[in-house]
Amino acid sequence: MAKEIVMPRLSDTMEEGKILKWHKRPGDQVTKGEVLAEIETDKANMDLEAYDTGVLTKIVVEEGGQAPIGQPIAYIGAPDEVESADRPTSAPPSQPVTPETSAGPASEAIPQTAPAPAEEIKAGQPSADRTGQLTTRQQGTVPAAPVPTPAPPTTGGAVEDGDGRIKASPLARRIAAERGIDLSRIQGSGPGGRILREDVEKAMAAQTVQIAVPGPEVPRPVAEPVVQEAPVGGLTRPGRHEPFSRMQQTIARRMTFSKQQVPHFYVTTEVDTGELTELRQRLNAAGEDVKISYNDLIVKAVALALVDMPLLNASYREDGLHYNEEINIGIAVAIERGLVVPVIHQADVKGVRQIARENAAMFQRVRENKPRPEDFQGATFTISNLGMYDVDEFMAIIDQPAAAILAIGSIRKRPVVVNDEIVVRERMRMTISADHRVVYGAEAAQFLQLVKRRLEQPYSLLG
Amino acid sequence: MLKYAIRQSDPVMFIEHLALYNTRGEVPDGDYLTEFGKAQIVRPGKDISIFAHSRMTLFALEAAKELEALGVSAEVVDLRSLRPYDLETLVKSVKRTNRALYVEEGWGTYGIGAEICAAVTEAAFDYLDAPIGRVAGAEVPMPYSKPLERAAIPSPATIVAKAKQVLHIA
Repeated sequence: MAKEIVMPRLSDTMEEGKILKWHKRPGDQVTKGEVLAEIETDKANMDLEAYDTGVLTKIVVEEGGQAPIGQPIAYIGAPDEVESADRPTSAPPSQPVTPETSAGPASEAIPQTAPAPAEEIKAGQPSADRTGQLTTRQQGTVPAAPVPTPAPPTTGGAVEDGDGRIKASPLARRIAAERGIDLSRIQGSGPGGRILREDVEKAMAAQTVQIAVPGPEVPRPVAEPVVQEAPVGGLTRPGRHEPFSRMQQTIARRMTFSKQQVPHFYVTTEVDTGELTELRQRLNAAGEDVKISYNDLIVKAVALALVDMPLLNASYREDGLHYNEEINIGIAVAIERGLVVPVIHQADVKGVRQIARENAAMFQRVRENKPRPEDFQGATFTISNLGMYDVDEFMAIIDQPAAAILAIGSIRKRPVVVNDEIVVRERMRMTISADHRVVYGAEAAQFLQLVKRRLEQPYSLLG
Repeated sequence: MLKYAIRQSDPVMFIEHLALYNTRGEVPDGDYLTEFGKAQIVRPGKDISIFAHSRMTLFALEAAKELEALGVSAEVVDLRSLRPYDLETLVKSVKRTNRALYVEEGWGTYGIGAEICAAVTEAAFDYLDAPIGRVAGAEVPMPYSKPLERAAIPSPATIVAKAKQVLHIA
């Protein structure tokens, strides 16, 4: 019997994935652990490895096609089960199609195979005629303006859905999974707030009409610059229109959600970093293989402060606070026209050197666009550091489900009053954005003091 | 069904319901047989499936009529034989209605309803929009007094009440 290979969940926020390349064709022998395909998620391109040994009997979703998490994309079985690759690739054979799943605009809109470029443009640009040269490009290779300062971080939460804590009927769950609907954003109308089919269908209807922030089920061309002929809004010269990449769609959606739904408040303080700089120089003078960055030290300071104040490591849930056991620190990293949030897991029990090593390895993987799924998963607190861009201070948007994000400004020499005298000191401003449903003002201030004390007495970070 | 049972070479336990002896109904002409393991959809509906066997099928039909007055379209399925039972028809029904209820006259714990609920949940979990409800008799020795007996077994009213609970309507 052929086994299904389903679209795997490669990141917390992923709802569907796109097959960039199949490394195997039907009839090919496959060994467990071998790379079967390359998959584009909302964050990065990742390799899909085989869980079984056998023969790839059938490819359901061809290159360029998309599938929601859990949907079969291919089958592995015995050699005699091989089917022709030319078969139509619409409905996966193992999934019984009920009337309510086969009808409706959303499922019809999910292309199983990539449409021709012309159609893609039509989908993204319903009204505009185009004159520009069109080439299909992969995400990330689009010539774009130089990277501006990155926005506050986006994705990378511990638990968003599917962990059983969101109450939803099995039917509602299945429909949501098929349509790529985020259950955590749906208000359940059933007993005890359980999400029912009706609720999911209402959410789907709402999403379909929402054009400004399209859901993932709306087919979009991937990053193709298009020249618009008709100028908009009274402008005489036409501008350039650039469709969002999948990552940019995700960032837009999550940031909009967080800024609209999460009551943010901000507390700023200034830290004396003289000793921190000195410690860092000494550590790096020791000539170890990995240099320690300010980020590594800040990660450690935050992690230790979170040990003292687990409230800041908690997440908001509809029925109460969820205290996370692990302290996983996400760090916002700018990449070309996007950003990712790699996560240092259990930073509280790791040494600064180890944090530096993991950070370096992760950044390397991100740069090569080959991150591991766990690199982006499970952040319980986030740090966004724009220190390298000459920034006094800034306010970041909370990356749900974390309850807070710490925004780090540049280290500068500033005049400060010490013992009634004005002296020049190295100072750094940091601003915490906190979810007021979880944390209150005094608590955020108290937490900042804990971080500040750690950074001003940095030898405590080595303990 | 009795005729079918007699024609089997295997022993068959055929349980008649005393209270149904006076129930009349049409039987088709000719050599009419009811096979085992074939449930019958006695009333099609789309909002909830009510599964039952024996006399409770009639109660379920009455309940379905009352539910119709509330705007609920209930499907009633008669299991007819309990072993083998027709899981396929039950699952197909649940896949249409997404909600189900089992009615039995006997005790609920360890009963037929428990088995059916478990099997249907296993087979159609992803199609359920609510837990499968059960209506069963009170777990007491059957009283002799008629009013007490009536109170001890399910009634169309208790079936309607439970159906509303499964449907999450007031």
